[in-house]
Amino acid sequence: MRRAIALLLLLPLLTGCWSRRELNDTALVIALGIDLVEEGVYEVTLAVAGSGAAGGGKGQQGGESLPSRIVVSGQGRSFAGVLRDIELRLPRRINLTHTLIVVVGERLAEQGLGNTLDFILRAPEFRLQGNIMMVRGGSVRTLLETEPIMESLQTKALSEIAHARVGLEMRLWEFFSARATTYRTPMLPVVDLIQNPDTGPEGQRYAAKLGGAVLLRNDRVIEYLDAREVRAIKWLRGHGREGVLTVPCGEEPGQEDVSFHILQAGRRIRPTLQGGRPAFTVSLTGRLRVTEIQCTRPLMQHEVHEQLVRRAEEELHNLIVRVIEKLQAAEADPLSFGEQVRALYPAVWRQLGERRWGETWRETPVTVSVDLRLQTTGLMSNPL
Amino acid sequence: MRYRFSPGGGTPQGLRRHGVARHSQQVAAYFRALGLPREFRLACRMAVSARAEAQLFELVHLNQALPVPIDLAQVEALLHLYFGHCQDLTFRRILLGRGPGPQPDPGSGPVPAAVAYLPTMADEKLLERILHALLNAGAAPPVGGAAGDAVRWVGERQIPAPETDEIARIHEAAQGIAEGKAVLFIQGAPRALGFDVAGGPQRAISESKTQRVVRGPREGFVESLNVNLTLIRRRIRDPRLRVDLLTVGELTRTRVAVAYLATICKPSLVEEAKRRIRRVKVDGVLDSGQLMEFIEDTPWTIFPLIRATERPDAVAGGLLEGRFAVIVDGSPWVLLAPSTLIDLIHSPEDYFERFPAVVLVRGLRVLFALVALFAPSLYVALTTFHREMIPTNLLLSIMAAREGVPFPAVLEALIMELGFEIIREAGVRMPSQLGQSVSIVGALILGESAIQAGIVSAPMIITVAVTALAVLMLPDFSATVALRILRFPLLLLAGTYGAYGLALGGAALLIHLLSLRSFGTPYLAPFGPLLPADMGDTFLRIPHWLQRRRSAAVEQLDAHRAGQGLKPQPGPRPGRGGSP
Repeated sequence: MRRAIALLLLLPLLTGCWSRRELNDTALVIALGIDLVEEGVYEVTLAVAGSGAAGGGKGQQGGESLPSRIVVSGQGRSFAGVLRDIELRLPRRINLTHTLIVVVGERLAEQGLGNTLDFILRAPEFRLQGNIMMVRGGSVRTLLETEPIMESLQTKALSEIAHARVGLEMRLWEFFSARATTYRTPMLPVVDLIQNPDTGPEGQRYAAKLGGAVLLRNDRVIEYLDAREVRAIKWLRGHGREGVLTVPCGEEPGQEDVSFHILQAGRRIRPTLQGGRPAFTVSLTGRLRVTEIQCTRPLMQHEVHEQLVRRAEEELHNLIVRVIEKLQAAEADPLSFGEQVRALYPAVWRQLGERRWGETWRETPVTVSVDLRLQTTGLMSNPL
Repeated sequence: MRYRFSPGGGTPQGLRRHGVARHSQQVAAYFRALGLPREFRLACRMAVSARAEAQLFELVHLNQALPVPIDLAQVEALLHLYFGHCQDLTFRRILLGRGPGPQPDPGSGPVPAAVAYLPTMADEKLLERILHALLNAGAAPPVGGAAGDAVRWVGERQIPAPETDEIARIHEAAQGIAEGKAVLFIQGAPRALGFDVAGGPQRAISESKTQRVVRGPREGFVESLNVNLTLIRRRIRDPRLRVDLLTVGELTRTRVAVAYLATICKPSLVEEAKRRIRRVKVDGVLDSGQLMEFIEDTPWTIFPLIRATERPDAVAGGLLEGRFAVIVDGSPWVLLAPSTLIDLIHSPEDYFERFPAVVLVRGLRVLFALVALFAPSLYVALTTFHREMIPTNLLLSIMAAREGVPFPAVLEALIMELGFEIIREAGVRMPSQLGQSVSIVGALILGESAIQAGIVSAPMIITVAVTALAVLMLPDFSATVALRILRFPLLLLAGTYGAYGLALGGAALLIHLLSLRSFGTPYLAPFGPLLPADMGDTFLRIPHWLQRRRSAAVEQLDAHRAGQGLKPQPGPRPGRGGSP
């Protein structure tokens, strides 16, 4: 007993990476942006949660609305230096533990990220579950200042959209782990700032929309992907659910369309060896629900819906093949094809050379097969 | 009737002196006959010197071997010496046997006798009946030759009391009178006869207010040992239910009963219990809680190592499991030991309600016991040290609520906890007529105004309120006290070291709990040590037909509780053929 007490009394002497700080003394950073102003000079923008950020809860004073966030920025040659500079202007200590979004400016991504994000990996406060994205069509500051719709924080709005699996979701840890290799290609989702939107608060000039993505080689942008291509990428990453496939519905393809909702999506990427060279078989499966049909064809007839599903399969097949070809042309492998070869055929991988995977990948044959099934026609059977 | 206290025991001075002078001669004669010169001298001076009387009393009190005087006047004088000429003592002189006339054997004429008792301790009706029987007795006792037998003769023939005992020492007689006996002295007999007439008003059996149940018997223990034993005996109607009586308290002479089931409870356990109770040398024991502190295994702990209950069904259940009960006269709280930590979340009702409901309720009790212990400190630790562990949206709400609160979170929590303790303590002790005002003021001050004034944040109030309610979920009161106390050190630890401090506190608590024992049973059983056989009655309560053995944590002589194959199932249907 005495020994137990002695041991317990010694325990408070152990060190740890925490310290006491009252909530009233912290500036909670909810989004962090970084952009390039000119060669070697960075602009760091922080969105700090204000008293109104909680949404429903009224502030102490009541009545007048409190700012949901305060956007501060500073310029300098290093990330840490700018943070320190900003802290001199803020009455509270910056706390990065809840930074759920890191936004990279377009110019910085074009010119090369360099090691600007080193700080994020090094700081113990940072959590790598946050999303990373690139802003296009405006400055980082504009995005962080944009008033979101239906959420009180832009950060929340963006991460909700990403999370709802409509756009591409890229977590910090995934981005950095891709950057840490020579054979995987980091990808950044792109947020477009749309001018003069019809949604959003009165008088606001911009709205944010999560659209395409960019591929990076090492630290700079090499290729843009549009929203449709991102859909294909998402399916190949195993996130195909919730998408919509639209194909013509007439007996002969025409103006009228049928739309399928993807209820369930699966993908299987299989590396094989063909004469000592890797090859891939990509097979996609999915179950569909008819969400809308513009023609009046009897859906319940086997031949009819079979034909429509074949068209959807063909559509998806073409899209996937096109995207893979685009990736191969850019020698970009954001989907970890190389990783599979490395894991399954280490000898071949060593022989091919990790650094030359891009060139190998360009030549690698990829067979795509798509198997879709119609699960339900929705609440109706044949159209009216 | 109450008298102003005075050295004369309350009687007017003149009267007292007169009485003392009369008694002085009798006492002196008594001691002269016994040949005790010192006592004799003091007795002679008793009438004139109060100091002499006090000294004499001291000597008489210490000398427990003094015999009962043969002469009634001496008996009266000695008893008054014992009771300090107290008017409370009644010395009723009677004549045994009818007067002159045809007498049956063996007495020859009426024999003077006296009954001494304290009317305040006696059951009037019983006393009346006995006096009636004595006064109407046909024959007088045989006094003379075998004088000692007179007392037994009367006891066997003429006293309608359920129990009598012969008394040879005057000390015993005085003690018996103080404990509520009436003592019959017969002129010329060297022994007296004591019989129990204790009675008087007592509380009726009512529902226990502290341990209420929805389902199950409603009777609760009262302040009388006899009634309490009745309540237990009624539930276990078997000669194997043994009750050993002990007396504790030099002055209170409190009766203490140790009850156990002879073929189930280990004899060594009962022996140990009785040894610990006999060890207690103290002037008085007024409640079982007082006795409990003397017989616990580890005195320095805030956890109750002996369970106290007001419910006879809980005690009967405990006895059936091989525990023993300690019943203290004057206390409605019966002690049950050995007991373990898990017992504290068990309510007697758990065994009468259907088991699925019990499993849910017990789970909630455990959960909220943890909430009660850790909620405020966890809140403080998370908000001041580990913000990253709170979901962003929740953190933003908390931040907005805390905006403008002038205190650090620890201090805020301490203030609120103390505020709540005020309300609780005030509510318990205060005259019940004022109950409403406390709840109104308490709710207003702690709830509304504290937030409005911006002194305390709303999430903190929620935390503290949930904690306060959670504590009340535990069925055992002493357990709630333990949790209430422990909350404060944990809060301070959380405020200084964060979650690390909480882990430290939790570890220290666990080590302490592991070191505790209740009459040899590990306090954390059946978890430390792990007793898989007991798991059916912990957080869970398996159906009774599955619970075939008694608790393994408490060792018994016979652990077998129920037969095999008791699960309800359809029996063979009468009147229809079928496979055998």
